[in-house]
Amino acid sequence: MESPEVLRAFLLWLGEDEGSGARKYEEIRRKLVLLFRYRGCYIPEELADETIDRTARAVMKPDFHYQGDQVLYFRGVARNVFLEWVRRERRLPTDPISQSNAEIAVLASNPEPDLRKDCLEHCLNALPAAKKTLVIRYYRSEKREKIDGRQVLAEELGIGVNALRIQVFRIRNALRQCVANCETRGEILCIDET
Amino acid sequence: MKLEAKYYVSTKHDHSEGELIAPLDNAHRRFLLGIANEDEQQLVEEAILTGQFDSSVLDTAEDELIDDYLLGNLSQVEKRGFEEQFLITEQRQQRLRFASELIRYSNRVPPENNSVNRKASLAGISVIYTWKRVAIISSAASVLLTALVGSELIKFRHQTEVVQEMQRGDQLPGIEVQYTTRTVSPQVFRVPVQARFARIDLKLSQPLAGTYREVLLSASGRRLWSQEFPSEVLSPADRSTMVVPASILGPGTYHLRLEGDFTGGQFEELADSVFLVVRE
Repeated sequence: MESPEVLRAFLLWLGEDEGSGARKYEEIRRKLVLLFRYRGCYIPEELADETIDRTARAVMKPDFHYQGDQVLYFRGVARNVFLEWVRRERRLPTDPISQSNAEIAVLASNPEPDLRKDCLEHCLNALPAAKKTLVIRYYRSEKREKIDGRQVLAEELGIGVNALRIQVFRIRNALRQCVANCETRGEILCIDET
Repeated sequence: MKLEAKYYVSTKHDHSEGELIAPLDNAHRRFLLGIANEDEQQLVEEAILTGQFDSSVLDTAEDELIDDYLLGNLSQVEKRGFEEQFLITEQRQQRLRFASELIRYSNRVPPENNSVNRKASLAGISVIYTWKRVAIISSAASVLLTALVGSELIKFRHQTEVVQEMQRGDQLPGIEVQYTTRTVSPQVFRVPVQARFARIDLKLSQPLAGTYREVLLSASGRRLWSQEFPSEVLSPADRSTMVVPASILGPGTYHLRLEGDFTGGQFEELADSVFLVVRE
């Protein structure tokens, strides 16, 4: 934000007073970050801040008039910011990475497949046996057969397919964190997916 | 020029919630794939900004898309969107690799093993659900204690193999890193391709801190391994030994950072040594 005065005026535009404006500011920023993240942007915080700064600058102009939901105004600005970012990204040169740097990049972002496999096995073994079986049965079998298999699994458990999916995704999230921790730190921590 | 004329402003925000949610079912998937049309984009963006969609909804949708891609359940258009747009972020690529490994692992487990225990296991799931409710109500503290003990046991089991390798340390490929603040030319650490573990010795003749920590970092600064040790272990050999899985040492440059705890709780960086790993 350009100055404390601009920030103050912007907060008063957002809320009834500075306090409620600040809370709204944080809420909108958090949602903008989500919006950019789910659009596939890898610098969502930067674009969220740019959206807010532009909106604040616009609000400060003497001829600014906007009647309506502020969220929708932010959406319009966010859309422009995103499209500009996409255009900038397309213009960026894609220099070839030198061989040694490429190896380092691959190592840093993609640990050895054997390590990942070992970590996954360790983490699955850290789950209660019943949950491990649930995950394995959910993901076993081929292609479209899986859908029928999941229906059967849900019926055996006496729950709906949707509830089954949510349950499995929770376990899977915890497993993913466990595997990431194992790959980077070599530790298997207790898995609690709740 | 009036500013509001510059921006695309929605006219659909006064729809009832029921009207909005129904088309969102598919719109959010198409949005994530980058193939949503103008109306669908508007619906999803407004749902995110008004809080109808939180991160849990969209994270679940992302996991579903990854599953559908791996299982061949996406249409051609969706598949193209997945590969060209969805996979643009490193985080999503990691999630794809994880899901792919999970599916591969699940298909490697013999079905017989599963079916033998199926009834018992599924009964176990119900027991766990019931147990969880009771545990939460009756004793959160005991659950925490159990988790902590379990965590330590699992860590202990996992590291037993490393300890065993440490006992055979002299037979492992190793490198000795000196305590210096500047590395003039990086040492070369030759690690045989078939090696499962590698040894990194840190030479430090004058212990000053109470506790030290060695941190192995990739060239990009990613933490790969760390080990704490009290200064007492330095005598009489004046060195600390760290054994790491060779699988984390691909060819490339690495940093070994030495940190010391002088105050009892806060580690400070003391030195950073660089070495080059060659797999042969």
